[in-house]
Amino acid sequence: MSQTNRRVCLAARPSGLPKPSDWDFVEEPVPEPGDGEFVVEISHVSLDPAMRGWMNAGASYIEPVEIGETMRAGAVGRVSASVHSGFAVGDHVYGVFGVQEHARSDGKGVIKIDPALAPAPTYLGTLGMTGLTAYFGLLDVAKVKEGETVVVSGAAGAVGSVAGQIAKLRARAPSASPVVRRSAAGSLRSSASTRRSTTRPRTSAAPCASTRQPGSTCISTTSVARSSTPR
Amino acid sequence: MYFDNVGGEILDAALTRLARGARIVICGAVSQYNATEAVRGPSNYLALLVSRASMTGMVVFDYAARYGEAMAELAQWLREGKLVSREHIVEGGVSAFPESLLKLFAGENTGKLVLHVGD
Repeated sequence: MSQTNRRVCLAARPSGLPKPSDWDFVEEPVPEPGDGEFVVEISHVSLDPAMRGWMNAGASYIEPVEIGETMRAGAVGRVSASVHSGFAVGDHVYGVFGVQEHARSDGKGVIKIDPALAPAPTYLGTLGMTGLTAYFGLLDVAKVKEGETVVVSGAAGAVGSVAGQIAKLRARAPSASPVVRRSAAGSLRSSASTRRSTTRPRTSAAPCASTRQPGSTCISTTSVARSSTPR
Repeated sequence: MYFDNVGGEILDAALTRLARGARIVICGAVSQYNATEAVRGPSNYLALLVSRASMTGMVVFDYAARYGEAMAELAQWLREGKLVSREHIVEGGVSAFPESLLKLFAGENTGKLVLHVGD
């Protein structure tokens, strides 16, 4: 285990895309766990579009990351030292440990994961917050039923790729999208109509609002699942 | 049913294609997170009236008490091959974080973007 912890702190609130000067890198000794605490050696950090929102001041669904604070991020890793009755050295865990190599935790919000069941990064994706977002969004919020047409935007992303697949499981038979026609370049196996475009598409659902750099890949991939079974 | 992760013009376009009784779930709006001007609103929102449709937001944290059951079902679907997990892993450790984060806003990731920081 490295004796130094490196972490990334928010140095300034960005305007537009985050710039290198919006971040500070801090090096410090690896923390020691106090009573009721443990230290995690982090293997993988989750990168999420939502992080951009956490960098803004103002009311939201979660407190903003303060200037000088370690950037908030979900992460997975292994307990390397523990003075906590619920977590032992060697346990694999998920938690909001931040963008750093070693994190001290009191166990709040931390869950144990089983790397034999799925690789650690999967607990940041399909078995993590983004997979859970797709799951509850489709099944609880939208209450998708068999026979319905489901359109997912951002279908190549972490949430969208799972949402498209769950829609297919629940709404059944996927079909080509009547709305979005795109040049196919690497559609996901699960979703016949997931498209990724490198040109500005011509259909009404086409414009990609966030990145207008010429030649950039459009992020607004969309997938559609539709049942052949009448409702 | 429209599950929106993008917002902006895509949401506005989707509003023109609603079925009667459609539901829109606002999960995210990646097209707007780096906006330096006012967030672009859905100018076609009256389609909700015409289609007797609804649009609602969601935050996954509200379901924390049920993460366990959902993870079990997602894991089951993975085992059965009904669900394919895509992870896009970036190397370079924490020092690669600033530029790696930007991939999300340039559409450079396929599936879940993850930064590898240690073994």
